[in-house]
Amino acid sequence: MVLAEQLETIAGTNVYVPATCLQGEDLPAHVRWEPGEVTTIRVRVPAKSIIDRHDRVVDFSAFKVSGFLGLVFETRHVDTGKLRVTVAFQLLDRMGRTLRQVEREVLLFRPLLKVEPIPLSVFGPKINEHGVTNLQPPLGVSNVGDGTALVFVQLVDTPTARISQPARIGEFFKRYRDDLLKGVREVAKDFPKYSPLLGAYASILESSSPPSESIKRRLRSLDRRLGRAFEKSDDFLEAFVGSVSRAFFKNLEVVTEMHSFLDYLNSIGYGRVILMNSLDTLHFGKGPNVLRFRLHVTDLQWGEYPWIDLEPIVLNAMEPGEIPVYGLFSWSASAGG
Amino acid sequence: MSNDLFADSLADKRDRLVDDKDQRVAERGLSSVVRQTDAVLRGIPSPIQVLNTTVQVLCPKNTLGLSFAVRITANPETSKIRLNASGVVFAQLRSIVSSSSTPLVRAEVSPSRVSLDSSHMSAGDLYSLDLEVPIRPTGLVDALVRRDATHESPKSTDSEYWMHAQIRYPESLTRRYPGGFDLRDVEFPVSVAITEHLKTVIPRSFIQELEAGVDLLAERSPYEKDILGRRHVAAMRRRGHGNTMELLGNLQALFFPESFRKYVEVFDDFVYDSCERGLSFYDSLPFPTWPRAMNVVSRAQLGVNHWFADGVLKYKRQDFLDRVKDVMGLRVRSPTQP
Repeated sequence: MVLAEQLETIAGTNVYVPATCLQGEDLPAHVRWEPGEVTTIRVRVPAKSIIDRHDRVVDFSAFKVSGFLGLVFETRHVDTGKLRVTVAFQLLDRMGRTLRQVEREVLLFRPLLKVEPIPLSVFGPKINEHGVTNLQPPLGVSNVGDGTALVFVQLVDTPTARISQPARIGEFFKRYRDDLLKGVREVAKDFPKYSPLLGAYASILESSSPPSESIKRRLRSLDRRLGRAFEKSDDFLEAFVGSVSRAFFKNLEVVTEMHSFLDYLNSIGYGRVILMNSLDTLHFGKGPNVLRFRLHVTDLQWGEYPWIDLEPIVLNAMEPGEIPVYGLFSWSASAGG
Repeated sequence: MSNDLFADSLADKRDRLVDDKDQRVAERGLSSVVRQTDAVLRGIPSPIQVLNTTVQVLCPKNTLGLSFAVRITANPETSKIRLNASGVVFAQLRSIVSSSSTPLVRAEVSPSRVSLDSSHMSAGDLYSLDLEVPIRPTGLVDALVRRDATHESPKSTDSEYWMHAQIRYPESLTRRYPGGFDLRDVEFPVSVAITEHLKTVIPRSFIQELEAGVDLLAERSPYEKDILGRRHVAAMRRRGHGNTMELLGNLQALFFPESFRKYVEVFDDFVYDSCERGLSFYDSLPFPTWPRAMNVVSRAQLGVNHWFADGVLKYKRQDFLDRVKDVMGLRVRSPTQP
């Protein structure tokens, strides 16, 4: 087991730091020791990746509970998809002598998209050997990092083309969202305490794509607050889940089980990529279309990453047409993915 | 820089180790627990003498479990001893070392009082009086416990999620409850991503069958419907294993808690409690019935002298994918395979 080595106990001293961490996550740690000689714990954390730009050495002493020190480190995004860092703990006596020294290695990882060279001109749509309508050749993008990438595809400065929701999804989603908003308002009446929380949920439902940084922040906060609320009240959890289910099943006739499973599969890329707007469709006009794609990327904890602007490509079309967003890309699987 | 436990982030600036608001909630919550405990103590009449008090927060029930070590100081004069303890939802009196032959004393609980059968009590008997009252302070557990779990493991490794819980203000607990304060069965949810590699085990023939089925349902023209119907049937025959809807139903069944439970294991200081389909807030897609993640809840014990809990949740991804292959009829199973 990966973490087993982190749990070793050295002469009554137990130092815990997880062996892996998604960049941007908080990294918990604790030190447990036999009370007695230890008066100071010196912690050294590495530059850039954790907390600060420089190596930091901090001494902890005058413990209010003898034999236990709990810590949480903030971690940061770094440029590389994977980085191994060492966190060092020194247990010192009152004379400053080292009684124990323990080092823990942590693999800090994140998603990292690599864009293959973009062709100057493409043709589309074409039905490929798998029966999928796609761009020819598709745009090659791979996730060479170790974390899951949530990708939202946007088209910028392209007057002859647009990306929009297919009518089928649009109809379902509008009806589903309208019913869900009604349901959420009913739940808010029954649970006025959670009214602000449900208001935040409703405003996210109504927000437009792609997810902006402020929406990501709100999602992070909403995720945490809803989790806490569910934990506190089973009745609230039941009412909330009930409103989601009712809205979904009421509109189920619009989307069949077969459709929904296809959509689900199409949203999954290879190598830990999830396309957030996989079912949206690129609509293009007859003749040359200069397409400028922008990829918005985030990770499973809504980390903030700069967007990626792809080189413009020219799509020469004999007549107007459309391609689903999932048909624009070939997601090459990277090692281990 | 202060050296208080948990009072430092290693940076001087943004500090997320200790939240002032959480500390206020924790202190307020603990004060409220003290008041609740005192109110119960005041309702315990003679001849019951309280020797020691321990407090437990019973997280799943959201109640406070109060255990008093008590001594009977004189032979009771009546057949029942009444405690003025409003709000008690459970009560029992267990003999610790007793001359009585009855180890468990019958207790009747009404909304405002508890009656204990004193017919077998004698002076000098030692009991543990266990009471449960609904917990008043909200947010106490959240304020007292720092919970961290990874969102995922690196893709080149096994699907393991580390989990770590620790008490944020241990000095507050030891100061107020030197006799013991425990948080029992603290809830610890982890979102387990399940879509990785799923696409690779769904055969192309099944996807073609779904596409044909979807086109068939959307078609209005009887002539086109006939052609698409033949295409759909041909695709089903090519796959040759069960009908489409039955297969989708069987795939759905994998996400039922009792089915998915087989694919997660919890180690070290945590124990498995339950699982359910995870909610996705970012999906603008109509498939809440096909989860991207399962929410797995584990539980841990924390308290005075149990300041932390660490453990691992392992998602047996390959076993799950093998099961999907079984459902799709892609794997030939030997008679010994489960």
